[in-house]
Amino acid sequence: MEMQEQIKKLLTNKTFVQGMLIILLIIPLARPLGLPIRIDQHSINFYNIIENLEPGTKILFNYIPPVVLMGDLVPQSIPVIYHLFSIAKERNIKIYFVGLSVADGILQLLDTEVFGTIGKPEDYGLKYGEDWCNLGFVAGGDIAWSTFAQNIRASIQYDRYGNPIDSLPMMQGVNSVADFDLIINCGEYNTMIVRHWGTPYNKPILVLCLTGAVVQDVEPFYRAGQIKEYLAGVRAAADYEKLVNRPGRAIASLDAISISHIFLIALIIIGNILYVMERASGRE
Amino acid sequence: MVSQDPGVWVAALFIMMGYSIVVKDNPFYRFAERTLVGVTAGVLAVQGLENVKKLAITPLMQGEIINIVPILIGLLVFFRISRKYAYISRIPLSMMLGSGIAVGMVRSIPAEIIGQVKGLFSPIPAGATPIDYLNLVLVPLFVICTLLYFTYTKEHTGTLGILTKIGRYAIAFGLGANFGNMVMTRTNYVIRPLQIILYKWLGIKV
Amino acid sequence: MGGISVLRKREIPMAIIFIISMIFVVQYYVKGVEPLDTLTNTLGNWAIIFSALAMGIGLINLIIIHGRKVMDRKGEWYFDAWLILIMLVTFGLGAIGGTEDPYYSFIFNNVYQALSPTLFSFAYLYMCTIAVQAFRVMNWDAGLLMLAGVLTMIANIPMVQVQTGLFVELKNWIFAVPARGVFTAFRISLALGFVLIGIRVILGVERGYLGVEEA
Repeated sequence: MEMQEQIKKLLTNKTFVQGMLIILLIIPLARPLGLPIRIDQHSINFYNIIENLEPGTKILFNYIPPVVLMGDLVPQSIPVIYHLFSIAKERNIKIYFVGLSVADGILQLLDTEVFGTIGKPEDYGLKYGEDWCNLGFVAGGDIAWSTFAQNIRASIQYDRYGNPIDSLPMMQGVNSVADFDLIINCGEYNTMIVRHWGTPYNKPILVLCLTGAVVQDVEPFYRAGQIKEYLAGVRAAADYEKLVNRPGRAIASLDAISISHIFLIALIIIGNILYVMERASGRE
Repeated sequence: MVSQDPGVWVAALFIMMGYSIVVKDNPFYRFAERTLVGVTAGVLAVQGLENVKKLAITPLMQGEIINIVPILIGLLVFFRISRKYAYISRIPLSMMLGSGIAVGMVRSIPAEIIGQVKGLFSPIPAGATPIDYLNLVLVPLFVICTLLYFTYTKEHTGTLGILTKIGRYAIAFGLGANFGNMVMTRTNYVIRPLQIILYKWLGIKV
Repeated sequence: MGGISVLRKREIPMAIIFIISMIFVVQYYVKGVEPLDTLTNTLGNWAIIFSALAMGIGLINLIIIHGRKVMDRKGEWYFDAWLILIMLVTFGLGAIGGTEDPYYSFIFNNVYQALSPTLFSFAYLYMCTIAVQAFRVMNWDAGLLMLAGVLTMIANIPMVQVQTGLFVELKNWIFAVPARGVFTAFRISLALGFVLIGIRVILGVERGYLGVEEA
């Protein structure tokens, strides 16, 4: 009984539990075991969709990971954008980056985190304004998504770098979401994407989402066929890094993910064992 | 090799200040917390200003005088802060609300109501197993039972009671699965700052 | 003064909401009317500008709240003074130099990006702290919740995924059937609720957004 109380006291001590967790995470991050990974079917499907893109495809890439969630979203976007850039030149694929509702990604993270890791689009032979462009940030909720969908120039007149969007050759003939062939969303707001861009214009949507958003936000749309495929979190990022043969941050964090999950599951099991023992001793 | 970049040192110091609360509440943590609040507000305001510059101020400077109208109406939003004149801010807010509600409403019907209901009755895939047939029945059943669980016009007894009980257990199962996935997202909140400390600051290579 | 007092009337924002909503609703159902399309594009453009301007309200509110504490020298007022200072510095650098300004980028990349996930990581750290006491299986509902949660967590462990696909298959079934059913129902209900609240706001039945009744 006394030992029970001591264990419970220790495992509810904030400093002990949080300190233990941080130390347990530091070890596998500093020295990853490099265990094999099992690639999820969603990641394989996502990869195949990108790999089999038709020449001349126009992709609207809504890049909106907020800084607070970048740990789960940016690692996925890095190998995906690397994959796109790798095939864009030979297949004349056009990539239009934009950021609706959330500015962190499109104004900063794309340049610092993505291009800072995989290199600039110019390194892949892509020219700004002809092969790729950054349309910048559009503030607002439903009305921003809807206005952009119906008339791009009503919500954006200048791109991220201050160029009039009509001066970009790749914007010729692109007036609304209807003129794109594929939509990719990296961030939250998956409901908005389906509501304003997917269903009205019947466009295929690929989503890079939080793991925590899969069950409530993405799966209902995916199973209904409104989202074509998705990648979820760092786990999917690790899969994609393996598929494009570019190991990075995500693969390095898999051991830490395993440890943190095992830690929490162990705490839950111990908590329930202690509860059963308490009830049993209470009955006695 | 420890980083020579002053930016990385600043980041590492702030991360350690943030995690110092694990030991005990202390002035370093409170300093880091206030810094985050201040920087976040500043960053949001800058991002908003970027949008206003591109959408209204730059066209205005280039001779499109009409853009003065949304700027002037939009500035009325700031009256929200005044207790005496807050009612003036209702004008731009009601314009935002009116447009947002209307577009959200009309578009949510085909996407989230009709689209989701249609999705429940998908065609039977080729090579379907008995489990697939069972799943095709179970999904609409769980949808109906969940919806019934939240109806309060009739007491949950008899057949309704059985269906709402199924709904309740399905909700527990669904929320549990959601929680399980949420843990993964939250884990990455912890991993990211530790990666900055280990890889960027201390220069550990993996 | 008479003009200003007219603005106090609640009917004005209610009328604005009704008229603007009707314009957008009619435009959605009646396609190809160019003046209507132009009008909705303009109104949409204006709403985006208002949203962008509204992002500055947080800044002003914080100055007022924390400025009072600094003026009164209440509590740890020096931290509040620091908050205001760093906020104004960040805003000033970004406003003058834009988001590509090197000093603004320094603050964004090394302070904001470092602190934001750090302080939000306490969501997980505190979840672990209370796990022993909070996640107890006390009844069938809690049991099912924990079962689904623990199965999903186990299925998400990369080490386990390599050893056996059983948990992944179970997780996929949970996502595809019960969880899908439940969250589809939630989604449909949310959408229905959104439509009903929207109708109430447009018709002026719902007036909570107007704030306190003016005398």
